[in-house]
Amino acid sequence: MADGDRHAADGVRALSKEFRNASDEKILKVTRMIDLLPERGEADALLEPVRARLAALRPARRMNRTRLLFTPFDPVVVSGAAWRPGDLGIPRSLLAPVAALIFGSGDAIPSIPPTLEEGDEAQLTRAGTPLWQAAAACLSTISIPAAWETPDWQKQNGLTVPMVMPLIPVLRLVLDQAVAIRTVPPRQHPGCEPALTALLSEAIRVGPLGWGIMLRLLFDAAAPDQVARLALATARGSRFCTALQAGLDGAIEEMLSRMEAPQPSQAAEQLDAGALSGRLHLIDRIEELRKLENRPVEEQRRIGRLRQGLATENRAMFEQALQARLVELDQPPAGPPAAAMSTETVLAIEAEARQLRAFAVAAAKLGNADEYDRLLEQAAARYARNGGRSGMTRADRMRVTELLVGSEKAIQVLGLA
Amino acid sequence: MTTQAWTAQSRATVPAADVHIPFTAPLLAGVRGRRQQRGLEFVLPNPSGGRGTYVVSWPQTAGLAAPTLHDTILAKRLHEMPGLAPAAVRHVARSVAAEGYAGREAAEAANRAQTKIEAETLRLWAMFLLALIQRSEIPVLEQGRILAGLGNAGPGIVTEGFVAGAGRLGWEPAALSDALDQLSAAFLPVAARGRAHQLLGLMEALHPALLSEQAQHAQDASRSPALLARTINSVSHWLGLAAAALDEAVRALADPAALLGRWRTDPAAALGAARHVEETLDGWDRICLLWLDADTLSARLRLLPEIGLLVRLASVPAAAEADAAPAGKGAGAPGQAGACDLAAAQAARPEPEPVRSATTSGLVERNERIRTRELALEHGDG
Repeated sequence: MADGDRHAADGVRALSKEFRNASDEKILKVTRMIDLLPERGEADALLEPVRARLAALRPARRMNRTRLLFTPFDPVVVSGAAWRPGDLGIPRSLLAPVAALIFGSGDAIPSIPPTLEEGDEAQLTRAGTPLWQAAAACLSTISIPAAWETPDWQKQNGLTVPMVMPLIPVLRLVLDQAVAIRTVPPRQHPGCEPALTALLSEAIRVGPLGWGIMLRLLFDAAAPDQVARLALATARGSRFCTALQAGLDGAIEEMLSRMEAPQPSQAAEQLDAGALSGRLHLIDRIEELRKLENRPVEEQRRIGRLRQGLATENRAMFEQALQARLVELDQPPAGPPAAAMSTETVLAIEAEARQLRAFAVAAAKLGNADEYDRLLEQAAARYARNGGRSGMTRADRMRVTELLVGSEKAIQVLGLA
Repeated sequence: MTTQAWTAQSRATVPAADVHIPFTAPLLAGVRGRRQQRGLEFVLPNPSGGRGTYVVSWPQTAGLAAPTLHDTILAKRLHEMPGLAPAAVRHVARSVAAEGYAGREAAEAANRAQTKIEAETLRLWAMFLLALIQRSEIPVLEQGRILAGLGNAGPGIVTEGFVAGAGRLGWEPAALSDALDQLSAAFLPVAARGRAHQLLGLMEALHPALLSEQAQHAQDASRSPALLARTINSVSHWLGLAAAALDEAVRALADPAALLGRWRTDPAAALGAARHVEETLDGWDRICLLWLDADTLSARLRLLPEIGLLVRLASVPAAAEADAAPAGKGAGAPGQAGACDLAAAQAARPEPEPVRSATTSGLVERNERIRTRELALEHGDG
């Protein structure tokens, strides 16, 4: 590596370390700037330590062609440094070279609309469909460039050709089936199980790695217990039954390990919309994992421990957030009643109440339901008692009560039944 | 309780006799109400999302659909009304929103709407009176004196000058006051830049948007193309009806003196064109604004079933439906509905959370946002 490159890499590492502890606002700002770069290069590495937080924040990010190309792989992309051959994941360092290979192939690869936003899943699927199909077709005929055999390329990407070769058919499989994976019908839909079975059957043809990665993608796209049940049924009919069952165990293991990894630290008062959404997703996943059938006892214990740990963490986080964000906002003045509260303040209180209620309802699935109800009722009673003095109108107080304890209870409490 | 399957063929060209009620609870979206001899009834969509509607009393509605505080207060006020008509329901709903029960933003929109509605009603009232004076054979100079003598007369306010002017025009003062009040209120949405014009514009935009969605719909295998096709047919049908009704009402309003003349012999006929517009457009504000609120393709695709349901409710001739109810399942008195129907509805109701779930709370927030826009539409800021 040349001195200049080494200094640049050191600089990125230092920035990346600093970035790890940055505020959500700063992370979002830098991410927006990086997204605007025509070539992301080293700048992309900056995001590495904050990817978990970014996932929780879910910013609406402008999409470029390379990012759209690999969107179907999102749940299985891992950092190049963490990836090992045989892992049920795709190293991030492989994405840029593969994109360059596809876009430079001379095949007609469709462009994408200029205004795609990352958060609009349906729009991404529509825009991505021709791109993924063309890329899958391209990968079925392409050969590995000689440059990939060079030490420079291998050092730069942390990969060798023998490591990459087994991944190419998997990339092709996922790109080819991307639309089907992203549009798996809801669980109750009659088309759901046939769609999942068809995807699993396609994956078998690619071998254990394709099977494992497909399972990981489907665990993300559909209910894991349903996917696992259909995977077992599909594997039983195959002559590679044992290897496929091992693949299923591996995919579940991967999912559990990811969930066991420490969550991005989140101060209680920062339990904002992004963090809340991440927490709610985690709670739902744990509840789905409990439905897995015929799993080893140790695995069930791990799920139980995960559930217990999350329940304890949630409970503490909720109480702190309730105190910091709602109760302390409502300190009645010592003197005469305050002037009318501004609309902005009322809207902020309502948003807090709405988020805390949503969190409590989801967190109660893991236990402590009575405790959550009690805390919310206490907060609601406080608002009903003090709200007038703090400048809220009667309707404001009624609405906060409703947001905290629900309309049925509020109607009873307020004597409107 | 009455249950009836809805069919496209049964949709009458005469609008439903019931009225859209702007509730905010997710399960009450698109609900319609009507005054029967036995009390107020609400027409609810089938809670399972399937075909058919439920005609229920308020206590039953509350049991089925978890109304919000706003809805409970609105329903209480509606019970106190002698009858339900679109404009009257909007007025009551606006006052509930102005008190803050749909949130501060809706309250501000309601207050702005009320101010503008009062100003615009006064303008129309004056326009009708001026047309009557100008059409009369009273000399121009005297016409000026009548106008100058009106003082503070306006909707609901009769002054001495107004009484004198009415006599000179050959009208009973009370009759003229009634005529001016009712005609100006009824034709308010029809006047230039009024609610009906804006709403028709929204419907005109909704139709091609749905057609464009239909063109790309094949890519989404799990969605129902039949539902979308039915929705588009309904929108197209009602768009035609609404455009024709508005056209007729605008032509009627172009000759205010003639409308006053017709009022003297047949008040209902004079108001007919405006009422027809109200009935034809009733409920479509929620549908169009719901569509506009979805700012991503994903959100619009998720909305299609709900839009389909609301379009069905806005189109269903509920009165005819109740009349056609099979024996034994007829529109029984509230509280006396067939137990097995109520049980079926309760069983089909989505997970009955005793409190708002995260999703429900998000939907109420969305419905309140749309309610705010409905209120803005009322005063021409839609």
